[in-house]
Amino acid sequence: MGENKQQKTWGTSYGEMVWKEFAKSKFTLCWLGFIILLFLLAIFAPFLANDKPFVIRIAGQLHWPIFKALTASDYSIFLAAIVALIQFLLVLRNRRSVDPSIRSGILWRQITISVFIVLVGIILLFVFIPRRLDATDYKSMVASGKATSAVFAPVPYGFGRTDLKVREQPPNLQHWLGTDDVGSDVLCRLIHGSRISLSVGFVAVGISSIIGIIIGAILGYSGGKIDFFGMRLVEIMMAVPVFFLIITIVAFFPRSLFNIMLIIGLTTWTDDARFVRAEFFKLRRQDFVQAAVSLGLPLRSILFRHMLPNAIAPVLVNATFGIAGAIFIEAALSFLGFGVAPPTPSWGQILSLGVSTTGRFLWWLTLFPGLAIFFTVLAYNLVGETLRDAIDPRLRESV
Amino acid sequence: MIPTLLGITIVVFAISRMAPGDPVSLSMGPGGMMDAQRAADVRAARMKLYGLDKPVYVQYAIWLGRVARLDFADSIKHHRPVIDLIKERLPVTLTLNLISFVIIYAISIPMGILSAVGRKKFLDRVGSVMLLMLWSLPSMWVGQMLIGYLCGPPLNWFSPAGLSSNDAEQFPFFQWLADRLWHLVLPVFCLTYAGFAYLTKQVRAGMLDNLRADYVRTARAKGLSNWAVIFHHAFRNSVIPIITILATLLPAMFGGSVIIERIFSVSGMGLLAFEAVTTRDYNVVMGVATIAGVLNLFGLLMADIAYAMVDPRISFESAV
Repeated sequence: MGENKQQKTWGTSYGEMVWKEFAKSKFTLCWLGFIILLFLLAIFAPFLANDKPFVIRIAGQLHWPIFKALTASDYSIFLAAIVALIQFLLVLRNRRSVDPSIRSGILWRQITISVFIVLVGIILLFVFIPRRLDATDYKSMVASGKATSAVFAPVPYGFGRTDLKVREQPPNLQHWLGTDDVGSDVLCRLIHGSRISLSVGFVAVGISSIIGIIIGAILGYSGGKIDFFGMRLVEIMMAVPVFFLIITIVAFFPRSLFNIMLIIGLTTWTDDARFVRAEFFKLRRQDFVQAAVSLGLPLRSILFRHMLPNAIAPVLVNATFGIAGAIFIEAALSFLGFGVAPPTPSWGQILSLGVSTTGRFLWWLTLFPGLAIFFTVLAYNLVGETLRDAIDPRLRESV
Repeated sequence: MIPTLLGITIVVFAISRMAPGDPVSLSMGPGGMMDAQRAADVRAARMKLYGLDKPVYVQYAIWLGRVARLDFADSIKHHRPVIDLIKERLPVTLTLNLISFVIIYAISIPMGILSAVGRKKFLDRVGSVMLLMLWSLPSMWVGQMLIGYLCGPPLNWFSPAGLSSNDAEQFPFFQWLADRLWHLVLPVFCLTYAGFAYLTKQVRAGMLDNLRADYVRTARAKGLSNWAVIFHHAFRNSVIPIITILATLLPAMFGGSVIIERIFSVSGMGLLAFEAVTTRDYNVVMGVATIAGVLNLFGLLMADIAYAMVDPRISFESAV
């Protein structure tokens, strides 16, 4: 909360009010920090856990294998992270230097540009960065004295590495959290698995929020017959046992991360649609909406420029819980064996190895991924809970 | 009601038939045992046997016609009528879930009332964080940890799989019952703990709304005891949202029992569904989806009826 003269004259915005209320709970702020830490972990996963060294000296020459081995998806994640950071700084800047009346319009434009940059960037990265496979065993080079010195990542194992000599080892000095059934390092797989969990959470909730907002907006604004039949459709979706449907789809279609995201997104939008519809129902009789209609603005502008900013709060809260739910569902799917294809690590998949094929209970393969899922889901739930309390005006007035 | 059910079956039917792969190729394996011509013949014959050679909408019409006569066709994997499989499995899942429901309600309602009455006090704050933690615990993790530590060698308290001991058939009734209950402890625990948080929060929110209302102040002002105010006035008005939650908890429950039944090897509907989707047993998938849909709608209907019973302002006659 920077003290600023202009800000005083503009008064406190809704977002600032909510943030002030949110920041009262130091406990939740810690968990927000935890989420940020988790994101850093996911972004820098290849630098934290990798079997390739940062720098290695072979025959007097310096090599940088870790940077050469970065894939297009690594670069996409970096790009998305940088754009997200810039967007965040822009939001902070808007607060100080943009007039509140045009702030939301500018914010929308900025977000559109950011999303565009990220999407185009990802496509370009995937087109132009070739798939490299660096199968050199740098560790044996160091051991045999071929390479004189090397700097390795803190967890010097690749997530796809298999080493049957060290399979199913409990935590020890070499493998801090033990190894799984094919001898992969659990800590390394946990670090890389955070990417799956976080991206599933975000993308799935993004999809479901967009669908929910659009359907809810149309139903709530139009009312009448459209609303009636639309709500029957929403009720059908609500009566569907979602998890069963997801399992069916995931089991029947090819396994891929994108499929899982899409399916979770396509099946969980009903709550958002209901919230937005209820808000729009209240809003559509209000003067500013009537004014927008009589000005002859296009429907798109009325719905999403004028009405949506007033109805977005419950969607935001629901999104936070939705991320927790999506992470949960992804873990459950991976646990049941419907998750991403094997070499890609995922927390639920590690958890499913906790009981070996011979029926032995391997506690380190159960405890650590379980804790990872638990803390992540808990963090999102706590943040969502506090956010909901911060947004609820009834609670703000009383006491 | 009926259109909703039709919608569910159409969605599941479309998904199962549109997806690549079919049970016949899955059961025949990658081939190699027969020459190509024979394999194609066998394949065609099997497809015809299961009615998979017709267009999708015709298949759906045929399926719907049979379901109208309560015939869910035969399981492709088990070679038995789907309805028999479901008859075997449904009671197991229902027992599990009903016990869980009772426990959840029995614990959540007092918890919710307590935390609403003592709002922002110690019990409320600690309780809500505790419940949120329970809510965030992945059930597959808890299940696996419980099996690992309580069913393993040092303790051996519970048996890790199934709902009865091997020789339970010969037990006298009460021993059989005790054995069954003992086996139910862990699965039911895994199904219940997550529900507390949700329901307690709803009860608390409903209670808070009512405790703030004017009529509660009136009741206090005329000197009613705290007990009477809370239970006879505020709580009775908070019951309505609690009932509607029943309807929303049901679908979630069914999903939860897929995981729990798989972990504890309980042969209920969840496990049946899991096996059916992994082996592409179309008829079983459709049967399970239909039954699950019917159960969910039944839950919604029950909630509506209970709604009208509790709240005299709601009536079905005036509804358009």
